[in-house]
Amino acid sequence: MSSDAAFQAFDHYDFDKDDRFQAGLPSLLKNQEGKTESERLELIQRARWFYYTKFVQAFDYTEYQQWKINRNPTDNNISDKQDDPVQAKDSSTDDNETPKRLTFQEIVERIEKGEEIPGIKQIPNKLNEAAPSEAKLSARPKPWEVQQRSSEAIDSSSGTNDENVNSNPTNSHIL
Amino acid sequence: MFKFRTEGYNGYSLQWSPFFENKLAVAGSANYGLVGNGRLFILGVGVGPNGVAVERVFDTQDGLFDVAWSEANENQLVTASGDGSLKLWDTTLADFPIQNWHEHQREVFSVDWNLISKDMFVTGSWDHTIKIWRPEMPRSLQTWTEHTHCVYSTAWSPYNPSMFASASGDQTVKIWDIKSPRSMQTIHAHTNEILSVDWNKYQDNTIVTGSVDHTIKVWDLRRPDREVICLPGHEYAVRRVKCSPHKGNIIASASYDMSVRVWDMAAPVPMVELHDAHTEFVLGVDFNLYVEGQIATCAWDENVHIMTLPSLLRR
Repeated sequence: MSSDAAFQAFDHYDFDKDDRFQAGLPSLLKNQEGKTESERLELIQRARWFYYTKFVQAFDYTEYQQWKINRNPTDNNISDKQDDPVQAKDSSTDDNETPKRLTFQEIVERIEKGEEIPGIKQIPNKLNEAAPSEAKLSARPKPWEVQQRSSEAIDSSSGTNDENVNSNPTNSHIL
Repeated sequence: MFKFRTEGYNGYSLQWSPFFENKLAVAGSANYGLVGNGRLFILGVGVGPNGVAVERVFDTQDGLFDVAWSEANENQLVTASGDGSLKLWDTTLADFPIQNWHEHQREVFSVDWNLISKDMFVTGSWDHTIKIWRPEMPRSLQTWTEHTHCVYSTAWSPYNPSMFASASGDQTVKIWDIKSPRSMQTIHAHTNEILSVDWNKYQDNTIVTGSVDHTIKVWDLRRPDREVICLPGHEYAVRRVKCSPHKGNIIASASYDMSVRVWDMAAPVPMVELHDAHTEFVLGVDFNLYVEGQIATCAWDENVHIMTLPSLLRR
């Protein structure tokens, strides 16, 4: 099966009628109160991908997203559009048209001729009205500060430094 | 190696979070930064099926050339833009920045957050000026206008909270103390434009420069008459140099020759890694602060590469 066909099959898969998928959904969405709609949609879409890859057919999610973005927007039916996190996110700022990509030289020539460059979105020049976050984490020592402190600690036999070193989840095994 | 595609945006700069070892910010510009929009990507590394997941994107009217995480608030970061503006973002809030400054008259090419006082950042612009800012203040704190050409790079000292370095198209590097209206030191470091400067994290008098002359030079500020070592090898301009946060002898460089190289300045053959998987100019490179050996790169080929280099762990 070509990846195109796989992506299309995924798009048309009826998750609403899949009892196994539906059974898992409430627990997934339980702690999503504070999340925006697009974050929720993204989560659902990822869950669908995870489920589909496990039980139906595996495919690359990034490639799927690219395929989705590059696809002619007129091909999308309405339910597709609602389900697509990428488009859901972009719909607030533009009309989702993906113009033909220009080379560096083509862009330079258009600028020199004063021609319009396609695909430039208008972004409102405004500030976020919501309250910014408060810092919750204390500064994490840099590797060079840790090394310096451990050598100082050896000098003074003090063991009270570097409480923050492990204040964040350690994911150093990820690679 | 993880790859992430910044579709429609040419990568200009990236930085690992100083709080989370799996969070990466990437600044990109549409149309190679010549004209059009910018986008800031907040990426989770080691997350999701492909090893990289988008946590948030922020769109801007003009291209983004540099990004710096706040050292004080784990959710905030500042971007430098082609229209001369600076924007402070909060990753907990969608769409719009929480602060916007517009004093620079031309492209802002560099932004760097103070590593020690953690309460201010420095910017360098094509308008030849350098400015320092506090996130809560509506105007810049100070402006320096000594450089006679574009300022391409600014970097705080990791040891002195009031000291930073700047690199310029006027072929000099200048060392500044924010308490002084004039620079402390000027080094005629190359005979071509200097695109990047960084401080060694283990030797407080050592800085590194990267130039359009294809070379990287290491400098001892106490003996500035000539470089400590010159590292040839890149075939075009060196766009960015970064000193390892883990080892004092390791430097990474990104170049218009489409390669990323890692150097051990203490080794008999200094070039220890050559990463040539990018297919366009490479503009950004950064060491993960908390995962030794891991680096991220971004390029005009719209790709971010994240890789672990075993050779760095052996040195």
